[in-house]
Amino acid sequence: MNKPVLGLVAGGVLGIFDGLTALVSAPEVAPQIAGIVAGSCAKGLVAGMLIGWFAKKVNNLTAGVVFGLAMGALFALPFALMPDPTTGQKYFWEILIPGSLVGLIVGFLTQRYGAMVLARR
Amino acid sequence: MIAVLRKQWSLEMEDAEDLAHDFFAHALEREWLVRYDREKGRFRTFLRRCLQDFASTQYESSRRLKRGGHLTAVSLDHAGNMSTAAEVDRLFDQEWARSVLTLSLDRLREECGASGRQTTFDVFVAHDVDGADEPPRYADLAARFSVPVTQVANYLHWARNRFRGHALETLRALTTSDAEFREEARTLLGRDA
Amino acid sequence: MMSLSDAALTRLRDVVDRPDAGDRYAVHELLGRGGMGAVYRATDQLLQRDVALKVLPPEHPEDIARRLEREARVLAALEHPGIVAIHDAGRLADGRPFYVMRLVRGRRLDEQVRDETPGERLRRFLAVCDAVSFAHSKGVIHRDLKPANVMVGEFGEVLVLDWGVAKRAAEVAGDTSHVLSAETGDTGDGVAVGTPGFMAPEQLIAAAAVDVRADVFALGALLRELMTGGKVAAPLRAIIAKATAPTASDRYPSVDALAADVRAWLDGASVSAYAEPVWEKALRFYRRNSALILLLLAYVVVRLFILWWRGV
Repeated sequence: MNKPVLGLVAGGVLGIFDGLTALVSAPEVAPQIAGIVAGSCAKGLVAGMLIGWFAKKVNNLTAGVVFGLAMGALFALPFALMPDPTTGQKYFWEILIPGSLVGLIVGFLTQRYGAMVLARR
Repeated sequence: MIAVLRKQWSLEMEDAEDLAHDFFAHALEREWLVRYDREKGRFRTFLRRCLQDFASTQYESSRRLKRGGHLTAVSLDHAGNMSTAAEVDRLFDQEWARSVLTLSLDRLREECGASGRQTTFDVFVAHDVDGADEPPRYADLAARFSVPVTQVANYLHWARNRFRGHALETLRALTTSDAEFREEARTLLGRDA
Repeated sequence: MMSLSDAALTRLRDVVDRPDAGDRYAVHELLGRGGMGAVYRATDQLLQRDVALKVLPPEHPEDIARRLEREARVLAALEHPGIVAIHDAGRLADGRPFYVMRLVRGRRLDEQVRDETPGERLRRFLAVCDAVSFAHSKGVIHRDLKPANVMVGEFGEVLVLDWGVAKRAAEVAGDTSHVLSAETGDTGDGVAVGTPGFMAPEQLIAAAAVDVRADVFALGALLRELMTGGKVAAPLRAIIAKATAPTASDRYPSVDALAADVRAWLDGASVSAYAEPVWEKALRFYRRNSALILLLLAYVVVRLFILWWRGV
């Protein structure tokens, strides 16, 4: 699987997973879980594709991991700053930290496991 | 054979020569040599065994005599220091190789003498025979024999080729089959050592 | 009659034995002697480079001469970085067949690997497999693979030498020449005798068909030899056991299959020859993916921490 595609898939899957785990760390958001999961998945797909694209351009584990962390944080930030529409409560760290970690994991995955596609002559 | 007798029985040269002479006299008189069977091994090995048996018999006889005999009475301690059978074999083979190559050298000398290549022969002997320990430089040979330096290599090349031919021809003449020729060639070239 | 000193005797023996390679090649010292002739260091006067010149002894029988010529043709057909290149072949002025090949400056494989890690030894082994596999693809079976016939050159290249008893696969079936020499142990006719422990059992049985699996056996024995001197992991032992199975049908069907298993071992993947217990499989999976597993665990820990923190 090439790196951008791996990033897309991993980002999407981990995004769904990340969204679902909100039920564990913040059970009160259960009524909005569908939206949370959908948003997390979309975030993961976009971030994952970008991280995978970066891995295709830069073959360096550290750089890939750092970029992944940064993308994860960047995409998680708007959601982290957004208050819950029902309760008005903010879940800043509960969203930012796991989101950044997911970005880091996708960065690692694309660097380590993605297949290099050799340039055609 | 004399060298083998001297080494194995610790004989003086004269005694070894006498014993070798006696051996051949006995061999011819009693027709030992006709007993040789090609199927059972090389003729040299057969000859060596006959010599061994003869020398042992002579040794026993001399021990029974209080005086005289061809062999000096040897104490049992000294007898224990005699060469092993393998060493005797090796010496025998080496001496045989020496005689074959000496014969080949003589043939080369005859050929060179007959074809006006005496200088070629002399250069070869000076480099590969007399100078075997430390071969002389080509320049020294050239000066010694009053030939161009470039010619020295040519002489050696030609003489070595001819010497090789004579050695193999001599060997062929001494053997009766291809298999025997190959065996003897290995001994001649020291590959069995 | 001249009398020859011991030194003269030695020198004249060398004169008789040493090949005269004419104007093209200047022959120097003897490098080695085997059942199929002697190898000398020589200089190609035309190209001004050192080469190795293999030649039969003066007393060679004609059938051995044909073997050497066949060996030269086999080498010429095998152009591969792991197989020593042949430059020239023919007959000397005295009728002795010879061929000239690249002079390999290096060490025998078994000497080279003494200072190397197991991983490096396995990579050397894979290079040998590559060369032999290539030969098999050209229909040539080596039949005498052993540590003495593998060299590591000065640039780290691995070279398989001595194709003296190599045969085209089509010629091998029913060929007993190699078998007869093994039975008689006669090296005098210039026919190579295989090394005990490296010859597949079928090579010792008259009229048995010998195929590429004979080389698989020898490679398995070679691998065992290379890995001695330390603890050998169970999967590697299983690979060696499969390659050196007494019955050909129990071995790897090809050198490529053997090499694939060795590569799998090097990559930390599962090895076909080894029935891995579940716990070993899990451990291997963990070792291959430890970083990812730890990252995922870290994510779980963070989630649990957040849960705890919110509870607090």
